[in-house]
Amino acid sequence: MDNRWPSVAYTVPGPIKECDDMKRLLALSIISAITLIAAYLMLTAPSLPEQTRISQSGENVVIDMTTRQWRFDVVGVSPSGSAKFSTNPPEGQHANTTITVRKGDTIILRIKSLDVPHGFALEEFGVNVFNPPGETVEVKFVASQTGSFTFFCTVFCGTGHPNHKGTLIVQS
Amino acid sequence: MRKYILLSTAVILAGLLILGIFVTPADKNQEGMNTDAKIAPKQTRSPYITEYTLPTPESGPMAITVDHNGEVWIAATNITKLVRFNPVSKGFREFKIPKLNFTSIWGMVVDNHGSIWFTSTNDNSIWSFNPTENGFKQYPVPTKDAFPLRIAMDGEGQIWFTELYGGKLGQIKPSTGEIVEYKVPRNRSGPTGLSVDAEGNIWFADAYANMIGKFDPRTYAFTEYPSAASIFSPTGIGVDSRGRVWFLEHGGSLFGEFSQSDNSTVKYATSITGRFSTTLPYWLSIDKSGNIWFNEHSGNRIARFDPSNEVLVEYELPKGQIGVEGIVNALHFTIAPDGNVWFSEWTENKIGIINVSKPIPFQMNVDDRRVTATPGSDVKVGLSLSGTADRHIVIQTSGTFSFTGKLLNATTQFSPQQVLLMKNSSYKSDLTIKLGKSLVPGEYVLTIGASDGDVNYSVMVHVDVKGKI
Repeated sequence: MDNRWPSVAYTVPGPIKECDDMKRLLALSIISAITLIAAYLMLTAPSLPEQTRISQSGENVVIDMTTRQWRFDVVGVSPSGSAKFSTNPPEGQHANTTITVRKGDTIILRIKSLDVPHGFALEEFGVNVFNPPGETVEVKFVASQTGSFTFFCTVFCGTGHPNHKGTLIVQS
Repeated sequence: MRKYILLSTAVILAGLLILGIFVTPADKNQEGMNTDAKIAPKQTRSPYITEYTLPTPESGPMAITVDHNGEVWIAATNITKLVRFNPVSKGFREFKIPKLNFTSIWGMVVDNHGSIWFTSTNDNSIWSFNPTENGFKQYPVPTKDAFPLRIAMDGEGQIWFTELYGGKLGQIKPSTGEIVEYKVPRNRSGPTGLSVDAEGNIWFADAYANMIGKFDPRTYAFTEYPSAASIFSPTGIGVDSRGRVWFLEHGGSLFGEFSQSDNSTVKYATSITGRFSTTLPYWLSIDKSGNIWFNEHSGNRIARFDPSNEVLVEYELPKGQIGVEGIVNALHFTIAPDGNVWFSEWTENKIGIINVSKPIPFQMNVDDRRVTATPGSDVKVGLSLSGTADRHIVIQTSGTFSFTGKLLNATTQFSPQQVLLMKNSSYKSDLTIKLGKSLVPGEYVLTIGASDGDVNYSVMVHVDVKGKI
């Protein structure tokens, strides 16, 4: 018995074997494609270095934030429990902090400047305030429309001023 | 079995190759996807602009000025050197500022004797440099952490500067080197830009008080202009030969004129880009013809506004390789004696010059510069374009309906939005302004612009919105 070629029978070409090969190839292709699409979706999902919080619709949401050269950071949300945070980006990196709320929520932002005077504007909701250093400024508005809205610093605060911004997402 | 492994490997590699083709860095950049592609410039060169790279890498050019000999002086903040550039020989020469390792230099001016004066934030000082003697001299600001920002010279050769965090104006008498400070009489004050008028008054923009102010050095009197309280986060300021005070709002995308005679304010919007929420008009200078020049930080442009015909020309700066969204961080500019405009590119380590005499190959006009309407109504404005060269033109609108220049409570309609304008041809169409029902009555200014990607040419239409009769 020659054990050197145990699979010799499967290498014999023939119509039936070719059909099986095609099916296996097709299955492999589909699995590979699904794997690649899943990998692509995971890699491009906009979740990584941002703070995200999904609130309950219609509730009062208090969000404590800090502002400094040149980033906004969410440091607390009340009520707690339903909040879902990811980690802050490393120091020195531009942070486009994202906050997600539901339409109908009443949003109370408490913003504290940690270094120099800054501003905070969310134009579509009529928010535009000045943030003196060391002080906490409170603004209140109803997230009355869905969409993605940019909030940004409105006071000259140095060379990185254009990058001092974030995104509020209001979901239905 | 090996065959299947090879086949599946080939399929995966093919898939990765396909993904590599379709998933470009731009696709991964969400901010890039949000940009308004219709006008976002992508070119790396401009027919109006020549750039020069500084000799030391990453030197951080900020303040810039041109001396009486036409040589360009640049503050290289990362290496704390003054850099001189000769536009004829194209040669650079560096001069090390003593003791400093890193600073920001937001203001620079040349005095009547050719000395270079500049502010320095990190050592809280004003400096002068005498090119003849290669000598630097430091003038420490008495107020601690005052953040000396902008600098100007009055008609008597005295140096004035603003203290952003100190809330003061500062004065240096070059003959004695003495610094005198004048505190703005209010709790919250952040003086930014300053300008000296023909009578020797010091006008300043106050970004923290949202106002413009005037200081009379003869009486030491400060005058605030509360009628201009709608001014928002101003930085640049300038007084023209007719005494009109021009200002820029660095919190948004607006600029404007304040009239001392009747305390009125008229604002205008830059064109908007989509790259950022605002264009951030920054610092202001007025040329010999009375044109108002300013840089737009996030707009990545240098702009010229002609008050006589209310035409705004915005030169798109070449796209940068380092700055966010391709902005070059043109933090400072200056008008040379020959009228050309020099600017710095802080993150690109370059300076650039705009050839302002180069003709713009298209023009736009509108039939009516002033229209009256009521909330909820439509107004039609005739629009005409003419060109001296083939150009692909994009029409765009912005306005003073919001501080960012976006058309809140108003929209415009025109078709087509893009025009292929042929050489020596003209094009006419109607633009419809649709005013929202909730628009608050008042005077607004609509900016109607045409862009070929290198330059934006905009005209202003005043929209007087009356209350319902």
